[in-house]
Amino acid sequence: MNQFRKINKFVFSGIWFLDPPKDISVDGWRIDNVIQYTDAVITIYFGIVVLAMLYFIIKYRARPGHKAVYDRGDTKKHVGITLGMGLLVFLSIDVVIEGMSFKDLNEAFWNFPKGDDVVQVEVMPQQFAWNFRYAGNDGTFGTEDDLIPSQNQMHIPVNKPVVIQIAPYDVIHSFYLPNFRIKIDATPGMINTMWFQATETGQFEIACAELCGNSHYRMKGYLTVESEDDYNNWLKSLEEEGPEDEWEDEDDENPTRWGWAWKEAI
Amino acid sequence: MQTLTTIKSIKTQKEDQFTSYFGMLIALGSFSMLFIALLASYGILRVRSGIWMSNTIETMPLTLAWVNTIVILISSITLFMASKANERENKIVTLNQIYTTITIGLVFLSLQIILWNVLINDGFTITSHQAGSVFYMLSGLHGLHILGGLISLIWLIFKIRVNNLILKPMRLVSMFWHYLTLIWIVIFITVILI
Amino acid sequence: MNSHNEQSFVSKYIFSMDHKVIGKQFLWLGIFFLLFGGFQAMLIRWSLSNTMEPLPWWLLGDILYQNSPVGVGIIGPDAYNQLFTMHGTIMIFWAITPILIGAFGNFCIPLQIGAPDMVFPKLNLISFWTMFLASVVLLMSYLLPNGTAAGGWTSYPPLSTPVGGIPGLGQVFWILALTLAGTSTLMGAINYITTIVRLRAPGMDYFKMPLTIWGLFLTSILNALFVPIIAAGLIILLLDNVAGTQFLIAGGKATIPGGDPLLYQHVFWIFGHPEVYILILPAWGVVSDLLSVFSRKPAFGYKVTAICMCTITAFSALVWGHHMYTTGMSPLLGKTFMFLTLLISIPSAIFFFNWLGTLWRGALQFDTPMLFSMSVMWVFGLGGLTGLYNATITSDIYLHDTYFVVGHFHYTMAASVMFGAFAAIYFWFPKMFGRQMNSKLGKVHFWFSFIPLNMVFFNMMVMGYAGHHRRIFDPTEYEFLAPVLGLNNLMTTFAFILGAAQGLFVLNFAYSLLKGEKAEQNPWKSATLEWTVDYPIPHGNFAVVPSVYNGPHEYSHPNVKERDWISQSEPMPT
Repeated sequence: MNQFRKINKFVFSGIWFLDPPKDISVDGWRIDNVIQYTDAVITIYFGIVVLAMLYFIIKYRARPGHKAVYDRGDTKKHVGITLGMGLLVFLSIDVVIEGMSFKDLNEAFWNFPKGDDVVQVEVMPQQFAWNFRYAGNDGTFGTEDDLIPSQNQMHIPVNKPVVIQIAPYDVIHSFYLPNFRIKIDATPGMINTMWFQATETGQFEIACAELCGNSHYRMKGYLTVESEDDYNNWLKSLEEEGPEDEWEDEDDENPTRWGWAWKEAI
Repeated sequence: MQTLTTIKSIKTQKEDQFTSYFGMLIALGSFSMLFIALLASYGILRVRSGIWMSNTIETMPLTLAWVNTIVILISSITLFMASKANERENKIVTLNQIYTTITIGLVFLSLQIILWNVLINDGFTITSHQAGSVFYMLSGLHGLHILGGLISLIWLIFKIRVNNLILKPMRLVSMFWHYLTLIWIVIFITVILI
Repeated sequence: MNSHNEQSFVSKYIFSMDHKVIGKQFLWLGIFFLLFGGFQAMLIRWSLSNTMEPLPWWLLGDILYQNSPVGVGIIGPDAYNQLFTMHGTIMIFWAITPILIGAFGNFCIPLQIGAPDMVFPKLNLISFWTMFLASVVLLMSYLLPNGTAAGGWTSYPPLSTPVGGIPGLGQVFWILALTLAGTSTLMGAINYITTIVRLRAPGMDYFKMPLTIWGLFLTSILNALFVPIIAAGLIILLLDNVAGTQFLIAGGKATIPGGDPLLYQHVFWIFGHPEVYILILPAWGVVSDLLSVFSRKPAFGYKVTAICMCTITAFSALVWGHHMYTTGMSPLLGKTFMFLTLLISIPSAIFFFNWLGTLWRGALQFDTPMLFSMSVMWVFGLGGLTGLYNATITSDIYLHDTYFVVGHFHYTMAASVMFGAFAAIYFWFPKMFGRQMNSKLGKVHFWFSFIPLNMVFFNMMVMGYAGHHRRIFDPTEYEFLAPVLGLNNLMTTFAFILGAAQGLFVLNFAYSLLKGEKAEQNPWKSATLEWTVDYPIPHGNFAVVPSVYNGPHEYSHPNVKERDWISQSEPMPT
C-alpha cells in the first residue's frame, strides 16, 4: 500500500504541492487515500482533455483549404459514445470514491467506539475560546466532580479512542483538528458527536472552522497528546484545583456553569 | 405610454389572455414556494419543540378567527360574482361587486387587527414563544398581501371606469385575491385550529 | 409604431420598456458591481499578504478606512469580515445575475426566438428599477456607522442575529437589499419563462432554440422555484434581527426555547445549491453556442446537451445537503446526499464531451469570444472535477470550510461564469452597440486574465489541501499554516495582475463604445436570428415575424454552397 501511495503521490498528486499537516490519527489515511485516488483519476482525465484540446487547436484550426465536417453528433453511434464516456467517468471515479467513502464512514468515522477504554470529553466553544469538560471520577457529566481545565487546553492520552460531544454557547463554531483531518460543527441547540484516536504524542493545534465573529481567526486551542500516565497525572492536577466556581464571572459573559448529561444515542 | 401593438398582432386576444394567465400562474407558483417554505419551517419548529403554546394561553380565541375566515370567503364570492358580471359585460354590477369586495376586505383587515389586540392582551405576542412568532409572521405577511390585493382592486375599478370592461386585468386580480383566500384557509387550519 | 417617434429621452433610455434597453441597463449595473466586487477582492488579497499594514495609494489607502479602529488606512478583523461578506454577496447577486441573466437574458431571449419584445414589458421595467433600488439599499449599508453585514455571504444565524454580537444595522440592510434583488429576479423569471413558452416565432420549436435560450430558460425555472425559498429564510432572519423573535436562535443565549439555527442552513442551501446552477446554466448555454459558431459546425449532440442541462436542473434541487456534511446530520441522510450529488457527474460529463465533439473536425477560429469559450472548458473542467472531493464525505470532512472549497467555487463560478460572460460580451457587442471591440486588446485581456486566474485559484486549492481553513483574517496565528504563507504572497501578486487586466477590458469596452470600428450586420457569420437584423435594432425587433426553418447551428451544411452558414430563417436549399 505504501509503495503505491508513494508512486501515486509523486506522479499524480504532485498537483497539490503542499503537504497537509502531519497526520497523527488512526483514520486519517482513509481521507488521504480518497483524495489521492481522486487526484490520480482526475489528472488522467483532465490530462486527456487538455491533450485533446491542444490537438484540436492545432489540427483543426481554420486555414485556407480546411473545411469543417458537418456533423450534428446525433447519430446513435455518437450519442452512444458520449453516454458511454460519461458512464465511464462515473464508474471510474464516482462509484469508486463513493464506495471508499461509504466504507470509511461505516468502519471508522461514524463507527463510534464503546467501552471503558474510551475517553469522553465535552467541548463547548464560545466566542472566542474552547471550553472542555471531563467527567471526573464518577464517570458522569454534569456532576460536582467534573474537571474543567483552563480554556483552550485539551489533553488526551495517546493510542486511546477519544469521543467528544460538542455544543456551543452562542453561535455556530466548528471544532477542527488539522492533524487528524477532521472537523465537526457546533450548532446551538444541538449536541454533535465525533471521535478520533492519536498515534503520537505532542502538542497540536485546534482551530475554529466556521465563521463566528471578528475573532474567529484567532480562536485557537491546543491539543496535548501524552502518555497515559502523564494524562492521568494531568487529570489529578485538575482535581486538586478544586470544584468549579459556579457563580463567579456570570457578568463577564463567560459561561461557567455548563455541561450536559452524555448523549447515549450512539 | 408605450403600448406593444405588435404582440397583439401576432396573437389573437384569447391567446394573449392565456399568456397573462400563464404568467400569473408562474407567479402564484413562486408565491406558493415561499409559503411552503414558511409552512415547512413552522412544521419543523413545532415538531422539534415540546411545548408549543405557553401557559398564558392554551388555546386560541377561535371565534374571531372563524368569523374572519367566513368574511374572507364571502369576499371571494363577491369577487367571483364581479367576474361573472364582467363576462356578461354588466358594468354597474361588476363595479358594485368590486366595491363590496373591497369593503369586505377592509373588514377582514380590521378584524385581524382586533384579533391581534385580543391576543396581545392575553400575553400571546410575537416574542412570547415560537407559536406567537409563527402566528404573527404568517398572519402579518398575509395581511400585507391583502393590503396589496386591495390596492389592486382599487386599480381595477379605475381601469374599468376608464376602459369599459376588459377581461384580462379582472382575471389576474381575481386569481391573486382567490389565492390569498386559499392561503388564509391553510394558515387558519395549520396555525390556528391545530 | 409611430407613437414611438415622439419618445422623450427619459422614456427612451431611463424608463424604457424595450428589452434591449433594459438589458443594457442591467449590463451597466452588473459591470459596475463586478468592478466594485473585484476591487474588494484586491483589498482582501492585500490584507492577507500584508496583514495590518496600511493600504497603498493605488488601493485607495488615502481614502478608505480612515477611521479604522486599528489604524488609519488599515483593514482590521471587523473590516475584513465585512469585506469577504460583501464581496461574495455582490459578485453573486449584483454582478453575475445582472450580467448573465438580466443583461443577456433580456437582450437575447426575444431576439433569438423571433419575438418583438418580452411578453410583459412593464414587468421588465419594474424588474430593473427594483434591482436599482436594491443596489441603493446595499450601498447605503456602507454609510452605516458600524459598516455592512459581516456574517459571510451565507449569513448563518445566530452570528447574523443580535445574539452573534456583530454591532449595527448592516445585516438588516443586507437582508432588505437581497429581498429586493430577489424580487427583481423573480419578476425577470416570470417574464423569461412566459416569453419563451408563448412568443417563439413560427417554426421555432423547443429543439430549434439556441442553447443560450435553453440555459436561460432552465435558469428562470430554477429562479422561479427557489428564490422564494431564500425569501422565506430572509423573512425569518429579518424578524429575528428586528422583531425580537428567535426562530433561528438556540443554545445558551436563547430566551425563547424552540429555535433552530440549522433550519436556516437547510432553507438557505435548498435555495443555495440551485442558485449556483442558476448562475452557470446561462454560461453553459452561451459557451455551447459559441463553440459551434467558431468551429463552424453544429453543436455536437445538441439534443443530448439540452436534455443533460434539464437533468442537472432537476437534480440540483435534491443535493443541497452536501454543503452541510459536517453539521452532524444522520448518516443515512449524508449518504443519500452524497449519492445524488455524485450522480450529477454523469450529465455534466456528457455535455462536456459534447463540447469536445463540437471542436472535433471543426474549423476553429480563435476570435476573442472563442478564446473565452474554450477557457470555460478548461476552468469548468477543473472546477467540476474538484467538486468531486467535496461531494465525497470522507474527503469533505477534511476539506470543508477550507480554501479548497473557495478555490473550487471560484473555478466554477468566478472563472467559468465570468469567462462565459466575457465571451458573451465580446460576441454580442456588435449587435448591442453596432461597433466592434478591439480584437488585439481582447486577446491581451484574455491571456492576462486566464493565466493569473489559474495562478490564484489553483493555489487556493493547494492551500486548502494543506489545511488552511476559511475566513481567517490573519493566518500567521497558526503554526500549522506556516508553510502556506509564502503562497499567499504569490497569489496576491497574480490577483493584482488579474485585477489590472480588467482595466484593459473596461478601456476596450468604453473606447469601442464611443469610437470603435463600425460593425457589419453579422460579423461572426452566426446563424441565430438576432444577426438577421441590423443595428440599431428597432423597437419590435423584426419588421416581419420571422419564419424558422433550420436549427440554430447549421454551419458547413453540405447543401449550402457558397458559404459555411445559413440563417435559421432562410429556407434550406435542397
